[in-house]
Amino acid sequence: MFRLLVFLGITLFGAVAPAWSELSHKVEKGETLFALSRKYGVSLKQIQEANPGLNPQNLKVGQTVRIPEPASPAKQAESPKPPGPAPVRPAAADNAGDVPKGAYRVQAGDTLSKIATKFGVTASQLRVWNDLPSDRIVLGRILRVAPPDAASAKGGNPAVAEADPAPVSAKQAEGDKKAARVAEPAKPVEARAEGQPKAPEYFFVSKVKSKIDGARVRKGRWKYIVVHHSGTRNGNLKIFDYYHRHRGMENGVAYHFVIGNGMDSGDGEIEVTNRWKKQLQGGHLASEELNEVALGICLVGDFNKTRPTRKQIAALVELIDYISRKTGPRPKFMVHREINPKPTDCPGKYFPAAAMHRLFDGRN
Amino acid sequence: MIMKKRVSVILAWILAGVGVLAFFLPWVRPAVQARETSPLEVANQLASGEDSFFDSWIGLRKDEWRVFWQRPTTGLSGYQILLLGSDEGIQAKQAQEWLDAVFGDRGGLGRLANVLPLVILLLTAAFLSPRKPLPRLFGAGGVLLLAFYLWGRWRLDGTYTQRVLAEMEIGYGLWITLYATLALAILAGLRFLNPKGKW
Repeated sequence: MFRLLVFLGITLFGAVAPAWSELSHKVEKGETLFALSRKYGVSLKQIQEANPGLNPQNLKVGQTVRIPEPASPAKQAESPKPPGPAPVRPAAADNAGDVPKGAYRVQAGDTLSKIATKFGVTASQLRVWNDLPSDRIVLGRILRVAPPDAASAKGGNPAVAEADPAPVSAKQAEGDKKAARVAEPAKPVEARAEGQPKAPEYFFVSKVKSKIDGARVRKGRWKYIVVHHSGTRNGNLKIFDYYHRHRGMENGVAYHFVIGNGMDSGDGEIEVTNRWKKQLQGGHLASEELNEVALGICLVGDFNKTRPTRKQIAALVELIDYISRKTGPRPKFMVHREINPKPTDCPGKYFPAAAMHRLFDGRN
Repeated sequence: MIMKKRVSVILAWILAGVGVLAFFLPWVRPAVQARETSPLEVANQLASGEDSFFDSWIGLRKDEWRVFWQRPTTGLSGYQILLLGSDEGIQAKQAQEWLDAVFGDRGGLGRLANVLPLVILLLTAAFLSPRKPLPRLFGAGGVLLLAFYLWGRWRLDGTYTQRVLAEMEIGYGLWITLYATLALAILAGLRFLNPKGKW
């Protein structure tokens, strides 16, 4: 009888414990509504709906914010999708069906070592294959769980080659896109140099060359190239665009370029925003005059806590070099804190600003 | 018995001596092609290769090995870096700026750290010398030495990007200092664990 009661208790607790009840969060220093939405996997809209009257621009330390239950996959499918942004927290889905062979979608409760054990590989192999900077994994992310060589031997990339060619949903397309990113980490130059001319070539830029070249750049307009960090652990163009539009920026994301860190976009992946394509002024500095003449490049990450990845810096160097050739006289390299009229520590203490100045200052 | 113990003592003194000597050998220097490389080459170098645990904490990266023995007399030694702080000359200021670009050393802590290995090396050698074993001193010395080694590697690993961007190389003097420190740490650790060992 006692055993039965214990069993029932455990079963009931197990059934109830994972259920997400509405909880509250006490705002800490430096937190934004956007950060909370990322932390709890709910959309900004949901948080705002749960907290009528909450001003996202004026969050106070110690203020209590109600965090609503995240919409279930079914609910999400029913509810109209906000324009633009990528899903804040991809719903955990069954791995079968929507993920190609050789890849695995991270489920709730998964750890890197659990996944490694499940697929008979090691956690460090998973880190290498997926370009992961640490053991932290994001719910819903698609990971490569087979070695790249095995995939190529089969005639392709496990994450993409065997994908269903039939039309896919937006969510699935997003998943596949992520899988493709996972499957194609930036290749080292040594590897790609074989059989190719040794002349320096743009690796990161080449993937978005047409987008960059498509803009009609007026020579001499851009006087500065200003580097920012996002101040967030992750993010990408879509997410920042959504956030900045929400903050009232009608042209969307404030920067001209966003460089990913491997979390929500590829490590070193350059994303070109409309502000570059349409040659609009930036929205990244606290001065209209400066925004008119300063290109903004945002590196995803909080560089007060972590260092930018090497690929991010490599992509940044390439990008500055490439766009400088298009803008006429090489714009002056600056970091946000050096040029912004208002004090800021952006792009963080770990951004190698001095070394970047050594590389670019004085070059024409 | 004393003769048998001398192995570790002699080894400790040799390592301490190597560490001291390396303090006067090149620690950092500008890359050969400094200021002539294209930013693209710098980007290529950064994008190539991923660091393993071994690269970061124990061994050297390929490009670091490549320049290990090159230009053995060129570069700033630990001793010269130490003197930079008090030198008001233009060249010294330039060199200091150059180091700042990589190590961000604006508070003088880095210069102080340059002296630390010398002190620790000598201390540890002294710990290892007494006829009567002093296990606690061995333990403390070993921990200090290991901490210094790890701190040095962490600093070098964290500034790799800056070094590439600033076109700066690490000279063999610094590596030798670090490895001598690590070897002494291991030796002190072994003596701590086995103070009555006949070696």
